[in-house]
Amino acid sequence: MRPSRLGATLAFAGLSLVLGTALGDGAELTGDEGLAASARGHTLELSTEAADQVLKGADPGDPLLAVERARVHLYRGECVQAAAILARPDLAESDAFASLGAVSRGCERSMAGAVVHEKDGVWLRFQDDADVVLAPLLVEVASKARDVFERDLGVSMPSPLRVEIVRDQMGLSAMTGLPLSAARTTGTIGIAKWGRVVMVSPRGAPQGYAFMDTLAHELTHLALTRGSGDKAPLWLQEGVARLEESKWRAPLPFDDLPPADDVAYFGIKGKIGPDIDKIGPSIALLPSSEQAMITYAKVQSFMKYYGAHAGDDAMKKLLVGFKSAKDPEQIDRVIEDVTGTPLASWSEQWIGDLAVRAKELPEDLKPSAAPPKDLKDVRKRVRLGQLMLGRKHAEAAVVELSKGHEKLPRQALVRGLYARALVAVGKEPEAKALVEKVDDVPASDPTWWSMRGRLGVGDPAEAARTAVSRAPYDPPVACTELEAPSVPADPVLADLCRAARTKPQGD
Amino acid sequence: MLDSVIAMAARLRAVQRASVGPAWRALGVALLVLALFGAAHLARLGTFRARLAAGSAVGVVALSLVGAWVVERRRWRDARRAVLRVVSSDDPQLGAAIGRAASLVASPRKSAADAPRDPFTEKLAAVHLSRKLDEIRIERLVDRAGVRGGRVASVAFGAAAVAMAVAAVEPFRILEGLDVLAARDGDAPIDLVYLDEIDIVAVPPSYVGMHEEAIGSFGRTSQPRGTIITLRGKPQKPGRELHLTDGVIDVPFVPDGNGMVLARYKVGDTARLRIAARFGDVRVMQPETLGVESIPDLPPTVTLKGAPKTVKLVDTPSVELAYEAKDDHGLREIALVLRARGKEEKRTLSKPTGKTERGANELSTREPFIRTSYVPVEVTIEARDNDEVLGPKWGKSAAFLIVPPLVGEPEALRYAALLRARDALVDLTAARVTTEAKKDMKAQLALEREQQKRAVDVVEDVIGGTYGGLRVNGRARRIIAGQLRRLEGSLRELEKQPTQDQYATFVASTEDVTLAVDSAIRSLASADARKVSRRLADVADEAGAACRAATDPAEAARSPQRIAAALEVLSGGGAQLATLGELGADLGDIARAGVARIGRERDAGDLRLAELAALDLADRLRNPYSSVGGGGRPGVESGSGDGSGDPAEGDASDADDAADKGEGELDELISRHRQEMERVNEAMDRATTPEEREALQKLAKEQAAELREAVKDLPQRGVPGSSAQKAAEGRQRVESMAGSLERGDVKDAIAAGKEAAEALREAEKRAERDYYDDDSEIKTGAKRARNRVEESLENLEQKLEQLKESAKGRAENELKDAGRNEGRMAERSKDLGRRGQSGDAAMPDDMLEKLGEAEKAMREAQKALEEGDSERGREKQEEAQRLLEMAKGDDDEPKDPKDEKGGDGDGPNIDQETSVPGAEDHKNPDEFRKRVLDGLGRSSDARLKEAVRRYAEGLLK
Repeated sequence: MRPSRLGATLAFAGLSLVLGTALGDGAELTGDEGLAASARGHTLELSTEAADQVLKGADPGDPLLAVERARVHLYRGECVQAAAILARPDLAESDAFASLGAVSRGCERSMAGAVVHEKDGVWLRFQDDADVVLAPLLVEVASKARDVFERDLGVSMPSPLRVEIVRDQMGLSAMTGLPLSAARTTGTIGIAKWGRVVMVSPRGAPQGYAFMDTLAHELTHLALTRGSGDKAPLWLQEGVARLEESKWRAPLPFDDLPPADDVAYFGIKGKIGPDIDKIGPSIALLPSSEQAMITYAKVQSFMKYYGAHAGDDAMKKLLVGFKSAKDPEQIDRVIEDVTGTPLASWSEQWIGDLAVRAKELPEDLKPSAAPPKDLKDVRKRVRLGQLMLGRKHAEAAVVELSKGHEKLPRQALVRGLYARALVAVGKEPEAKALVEKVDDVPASDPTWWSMRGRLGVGDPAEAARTAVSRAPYDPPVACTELEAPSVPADPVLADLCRAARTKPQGD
Repeated sequence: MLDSVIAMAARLRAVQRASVGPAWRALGVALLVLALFGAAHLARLGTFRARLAAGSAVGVVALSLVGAWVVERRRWRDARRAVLRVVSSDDPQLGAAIGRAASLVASPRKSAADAPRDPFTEKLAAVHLSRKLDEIRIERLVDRAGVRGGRVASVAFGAAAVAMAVAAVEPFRILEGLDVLAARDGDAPIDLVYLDEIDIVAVPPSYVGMHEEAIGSFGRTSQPRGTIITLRGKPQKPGRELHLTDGVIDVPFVPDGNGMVLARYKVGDTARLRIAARFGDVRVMQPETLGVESIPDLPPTVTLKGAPKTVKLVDTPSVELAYEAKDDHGLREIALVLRARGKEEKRTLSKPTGKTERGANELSTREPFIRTSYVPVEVTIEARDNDEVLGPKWGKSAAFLIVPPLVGEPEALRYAALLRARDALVDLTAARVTTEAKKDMKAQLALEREQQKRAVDVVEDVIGGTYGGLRVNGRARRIIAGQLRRLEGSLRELEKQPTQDQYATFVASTEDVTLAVDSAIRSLASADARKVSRRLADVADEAGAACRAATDPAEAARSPQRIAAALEVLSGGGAQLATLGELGADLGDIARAGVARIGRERDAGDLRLAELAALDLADRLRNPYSSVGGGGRPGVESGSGDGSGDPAEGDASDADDAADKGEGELDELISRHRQEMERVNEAMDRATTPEEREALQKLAKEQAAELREAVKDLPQRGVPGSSAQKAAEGRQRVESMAGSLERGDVKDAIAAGKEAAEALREAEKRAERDYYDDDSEIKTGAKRARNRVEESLENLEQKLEQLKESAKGRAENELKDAGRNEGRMAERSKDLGRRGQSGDAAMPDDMLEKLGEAEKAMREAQKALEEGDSERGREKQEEAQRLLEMAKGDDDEPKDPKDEKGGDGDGPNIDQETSVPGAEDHKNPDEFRKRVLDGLGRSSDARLKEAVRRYAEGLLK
């Protein structure tokens, strides 16, 4: 699984942030607007206790303040209470708060019967109780990300951090207001909205996905919202989140593959995709996936350049600048105020730097590269290999997968499966050779990582955990390639292994 | 001195006793008797008050008498006073003097201080008293006493006379009265006779079917419940309110107009009947008792063969219900009763009239009640009797507990079987890819043949099997059957050319077959998963409704049971769903999580949130797509990629796509060919002039009328094998021919006419062979009718021939065009068949065969049309069309599970009225007609198929 498979998440996080602030202008309702604005400000910065203080003792009949109370509840995940407040006739009839009401009701319904797990300042709510086995991993990510945000962004995250794990995109849609059709079209799996991170469980994705990095990515959006007073522009949100999403853990060889700088320069040279400050409401809404991929690379590359050249604490100062800005639309002015250089100059400097440093992308790594001609045959070999392994015909699986490997030697999944088949026939040295060198493959794959762990390549424990972070419900991965009934010694992995074995897998 | 007084008193008392005492005693007795008689009459009123008053009156009189006696005795206790009272009543002066004298004698000392009395004085006083006593004229007193005694005696006599008179009028009343007076708990202690010359008749209820019975005497009798016992007798004492009583129910006797009285008693429970006279609250019983033993009308007994037992419908697609019902008096109805989760459905099977009924029925797994219950269904046969007394009673058989398949269980079983088939092919492939081809392939060929046979046997078993009523149909079957043919073909190729190179091709082919079958199976699993998921959505809705019902007082008690049942079904169905491939695993896992969510809120007592969780699950299952769009992966990639694509995504075989494409092409060919047929028909219609058509119609109508006339005297039915039976058949076919002519369908009319002529000819033969009186009449009638039919056929065929000839020239160009198009479509059919010969698009033999035959028919149609022979051209076109439709084969199961509910022809719907829509009705009737025609027209032979179709059309018309 490639760590960058967060595109839709990132894009919709940006979109949601825009929507999140846009929603809630209760123009048609009257009330104490000053108090309501103050409470809303605190809530959007995730300071719900401060919002509570503002609203304490206020007129309970005031419609605007009632909405803000509902918003506080929603930000805390108290959807039943939020929905109850917003069911008041005057609020229910208000178009301005219709979406807030819909999300509250959607959350109330989606999370009816859900299971809550709270530890170390992280509040997790699982729509499916079987996902509770993920809790230790999610708590670990959130706790480490909290420290990273403090260090890199100067943002102290509130406690608890709220994370909701839904079972599918229908739950994601109901919890966030993102239309289901949009979620399905773009494959959105995580959104930071309403003061919480809402993510689809890896149970819902047959091949799994990098759910731990996704959580870190989404938490970054929450941190940026809090640090900037919800005024950070989309390019900053996405660029910083891409940089921060992997900082909670040790770097992996595939974290920047293909390098964002090279992809960005490829786009700039080919005039593919908009400039970073002209992205529009969402990267996911760009006309093609190629443009989206290049734009992600651009914002990531730009923020990396900015971070490296704007001096110490540049990011912290930028967030403070946005937070204190009276008009968040004046991005240039904010950046110039903070750094002494306008955005356009930063952009020119960055492109100039790329022109010097960036390398030509290999043909097969270009965003618009056509699939290899042998892919179809390799698919056959992979499927046959899986079928053979499933029937314990390891020798036949070796034959099939060796043919697949021959056709696409850099394919990590084929290498992983082939190695698994070789181990099954007792050819561990040959298997090890397949997963030994990082340079042999262009992208990460959980089976490949899992086989590295199994064959003792590098740090086996780390390899196993990396594999699990991408496919926690794949039985061989979750069980560190152990045959049932054996389970890993690590209690967290042991629980995951058991959960993976009992999860229906399909055939 | 005092002694003299006492002596006098005794003397006087003796006088009194002798003169008045007997009279007083007589009076006392008379009064007592009179009181008793009066009380007896009063007591006959029978009420508590009356009896109390009567008893009191007797008591008062008796006490009065005793009181008088006591007073009288006391009056003689004080001698001085008694003497004075008696004497004074006769001579007051003497009485006063005696009183004074007595006081002198008896004057006591008032105190100790008083001086003692002088003895002389005392003596003198005594003398004085004595003298005074002597003055009493005893005789006179005796006379007076005698007079008084006489008076008292008179009164006593009077009282006695009254008593005697009362007794003389009706002494029995006194006895009754006293009996009533002595009653306890409403019953008098002494039984009396009120009715004589008694006769008793028992009339059983008519439904029992027994005759009336005279019961000779009191004693015991056994009668069916509801029997009317009539007791008639002559009353002995008029004016009594007589009843026939069983102790609880009193039936009054009524006059029968002949000086007798009668009472009718309906037998309920066993009882003892007695005659009683009722006096108010008291009954005086007659001594005789009639014991009536009630024979109850027992409920019917029903025996269901094999019951009780539990039947799993997934193993047994239908259950035979063989039953026998019996009743002691008679049965009225037999019903099949289905019960599940508070629902009950009763279907009448028969309405018998006897005491015993036997029957058999088959209950199908496709019964809507069972399919929509999802929980065990109790099936019983129940019989109703004809009890007119207590009302009909139902008897119930032991039950079959029918455990319907879990939701999705048949699909899961089928999928599991298909996985076995795939495994067999995987095993075969594994063996081949690991086998090194040898130079000498002979020994290896035998092994390959054996291994392949083993695998193919498994696959064929699987695709020929039935799984909870489901079969392997549609595309999956076509692909698998086609791939088996491909497998066989590749082995034959190897046998023809046993080289190492050919072996490599052979192995590759085996691999492709395995992947194609895998692809077909996975595709079917996805389709099944969607169907099952939608069905489970309905169950989740039911769980939600059950949660909501908890707030309804009328439903609150049932709500927990409903929720539990729905969750059980969801849980079981979800587990089945989870086995249906990748999509099924995803949706089944969601169902499991959903059940847990509902259960948690229910257990926490928050049924509103439980309802929300249930509705959320229902919504999800009703939208059965994968949890994450884009094949389970995020759809937008952000800046990276190894450029190699993902070998785990996408299908490894093109078989499913090829089958989809092939089906599309075949559908298109069928549709295009149908249009071409219509074009030819239209061209031929255009080629005839309106005048020609009108003339044909006129001829047809004339012929129709004449044909009907010709067969009107033929019998309408006959004994099987008789001439009458064949003549009736001929008559029916002639009427069918006439009907076709009236509709303007001359070709159908000719076909029916030929069959009619044949039947009539056979009728003539049978009439010659048999010797019944009416056979000669049948023979004559059949012959006349046959001649008329043959004449009509000749006329019609001539007319058609004329029309054809005249149209041929006019439609020549259009027919040639149609012929060329037919040729093009024959090419397409050939191409389709060619592509279906091998590869992932391989088709099963029967499909290829039908395509080949269709191609041939199209070529013949082409030739005929190009030669201007529209008749043969159209005939061949029709044949080709049917063959194309047959090549398409069976469809998959309905995609929407709701389509399955209550579908026509889904199995025997017992005793349910189903109206057959008319041909003129709208869309649904059309669909019904189409299904009937399709179903009946599904024959393996294209020509037979047409005959069956015509027959079905006739039925529906």
